Amino acid sequence: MDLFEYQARDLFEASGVPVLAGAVASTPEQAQHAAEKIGGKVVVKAQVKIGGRGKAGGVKLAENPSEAFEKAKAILGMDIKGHTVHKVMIAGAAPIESEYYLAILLDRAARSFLVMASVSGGMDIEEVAHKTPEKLAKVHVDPNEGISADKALDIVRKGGFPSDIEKAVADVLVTLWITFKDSDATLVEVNPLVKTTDGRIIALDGKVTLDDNAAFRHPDHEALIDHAATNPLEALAKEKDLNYVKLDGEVGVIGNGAGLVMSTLDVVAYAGERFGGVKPANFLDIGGAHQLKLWLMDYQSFSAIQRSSQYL
Amino acid sequence: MADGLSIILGDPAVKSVFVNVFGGITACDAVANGIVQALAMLGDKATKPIVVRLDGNNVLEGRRILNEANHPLVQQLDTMDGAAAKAAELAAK
Amino acid sequence: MAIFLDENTKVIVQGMTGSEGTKHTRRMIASGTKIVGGVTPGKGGQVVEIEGKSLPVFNSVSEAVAATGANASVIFVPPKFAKSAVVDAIDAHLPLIVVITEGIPVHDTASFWAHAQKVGSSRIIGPNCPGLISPGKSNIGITPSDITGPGKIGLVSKSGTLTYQMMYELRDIGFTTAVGIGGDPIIGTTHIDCLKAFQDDPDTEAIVMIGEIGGDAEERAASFIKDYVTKPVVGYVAGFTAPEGKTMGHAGAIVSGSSGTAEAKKVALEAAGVKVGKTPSETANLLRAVLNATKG
Repeated sequence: MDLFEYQARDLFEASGVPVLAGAVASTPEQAQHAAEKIGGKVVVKAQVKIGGRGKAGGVKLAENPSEAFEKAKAILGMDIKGHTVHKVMIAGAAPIESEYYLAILLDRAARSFLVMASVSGGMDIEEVAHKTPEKLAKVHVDPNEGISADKALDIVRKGGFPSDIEKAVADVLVTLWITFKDSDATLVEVNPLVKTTDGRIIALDGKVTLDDNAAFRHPDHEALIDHAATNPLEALAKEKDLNYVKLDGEVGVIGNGAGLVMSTLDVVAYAGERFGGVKPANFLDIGGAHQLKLWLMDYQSFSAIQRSSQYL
Repeated sequence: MADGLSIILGDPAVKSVFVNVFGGITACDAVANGIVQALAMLGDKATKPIVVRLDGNNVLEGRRILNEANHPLVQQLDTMDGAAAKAAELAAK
Repeated sequence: MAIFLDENTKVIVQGMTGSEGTKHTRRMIASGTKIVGGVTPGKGGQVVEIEGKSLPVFNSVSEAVAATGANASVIFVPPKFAKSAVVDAIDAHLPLIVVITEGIPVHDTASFWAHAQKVGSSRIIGPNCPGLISPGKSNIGITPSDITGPGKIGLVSKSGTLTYQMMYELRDIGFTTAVGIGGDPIIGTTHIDCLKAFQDDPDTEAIVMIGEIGGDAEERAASFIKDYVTKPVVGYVAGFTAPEGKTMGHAGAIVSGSSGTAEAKKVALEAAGVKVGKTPSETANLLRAVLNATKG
């Protein structure tokens, strides 16, 4: 599950990663209220799980609370690359001197975790990695050893951070590791990590992805699910513990096993080419052993589906 | 199966359904029974054609159950390719 | 010959006394696997009757190994307890550990994988995999044993049912070993490990490699094939029609941005000289064609 920026900010704050004041708002009134509470200039940021919102006009500076109201009004309801903006984050503004990059992520190929650190923050890190790979330090982390203060300092030096802030950035990295581990994340990314003109180190924007498989030991993660974005059929299927993804075609597909169902989607799409471009309508894996019990459904659970399907 | 089938049949975009199962732990007879039960419970609400392809664990029993139920909406095909083509054809109609 | 698993492999079942464990122990015994006992912490000393065999239950893997001479374990314990079960098997230096459990947090997998590398004596297959079968010899996991018999094809796949489908398509030729490596973001044994083992196995004449969307394991396998594999390899990749950002069942099966697409994997495999089928049946026909060509 990918978190919204405001959820990532909240998680960072709770774990001790330095962040600016921030609050989420779903209405212009809430936005104004949040701006009053934070005080001074604020930034109104569209909350969407896709990049490029700045270019799309989803991030605006507001000089005062009434301006925050207006900016929020303009941004709420916007469509950014197919994502409707339902919420904005009102964040404090800070005078920025430099922008850096810091991330911990799952590295599938290495079957381990990877830290990436760079003094070239604020932009697309893939571009940095591609064009100036020497500016991006990549260091693997043993999952059982984690990131000690010494290791963090070592990584920060490899990333070329100025010596006067090494210690502060290393502290952030250690805290990020604890956040990564304790929340069962597969990605925590801070971009940009900034140094303000008064010398503070702050995580200005963050991305966090949590491992759904670890939900059993994080009952609090349930509250982070974005129900507004979930397709109603997908929500219904999830309730029934079914592995379902809505697609945009006409042939409903049910199979057992993720690989076979993916393959079935392909075979249906190929066959559909001969019938005017018919496509699969969904992915549904009724799968392995633990789902078998669902098949032996009782009448009650069936009627529950019937009732909740009334809108269909 | 019944839960899954009712979700799919409830999707207004769906014109036909393709059930493709290679029986492993999930045996074909259980799948066939699930389809039959779901259709019995849906009654008149089920209106979309269902193409079924079963192979693997307990395939003969699974096919027999579906043949015996002889539901007008259900047809069985032997191969994945053939069944996909049939489901696509029915959706295009 | 076969890879990783043969008729001499002695297997213990971790989680044998649970309902899943018991069910699959029965199926494995029925398909000829040498099951020598089970491990359930706290239930050591019990004896369980399964499929006409009296199987001793132990508290730990090392006790089980000492008493039975087991050299492989298959794990059917729930996700919550999977990590400690795998670590128990690693610490007992079992050469082969097959983790069937689905839904293990990736931090747990990363942790036991790192531990296994440090100890250095175990091959781990999975997690979230169907296991492996050397038809006619032994079967660890949940693969149906009656799809086909022994033969000359080696198969490696992320997916269980797609493995069964491909074995069924090629049932007239048969297999040395079919390995389901699992669909999680971190897995113990990779496509590359299996390709290498099949290349080195004298009885395997051709290899089928099945991939799916997500990650870049297939791309890495392609470059390995180019450098190392001289036997014919036929490939299949599932998920051409998968949209970006939607996880298709397996925790690892997700297309993000331009990476992980089926098309990219197909291109990489073809560049390494691997013929890639569009469907399972077409892939099976490609394999028949390369086998006939090698004969000629």
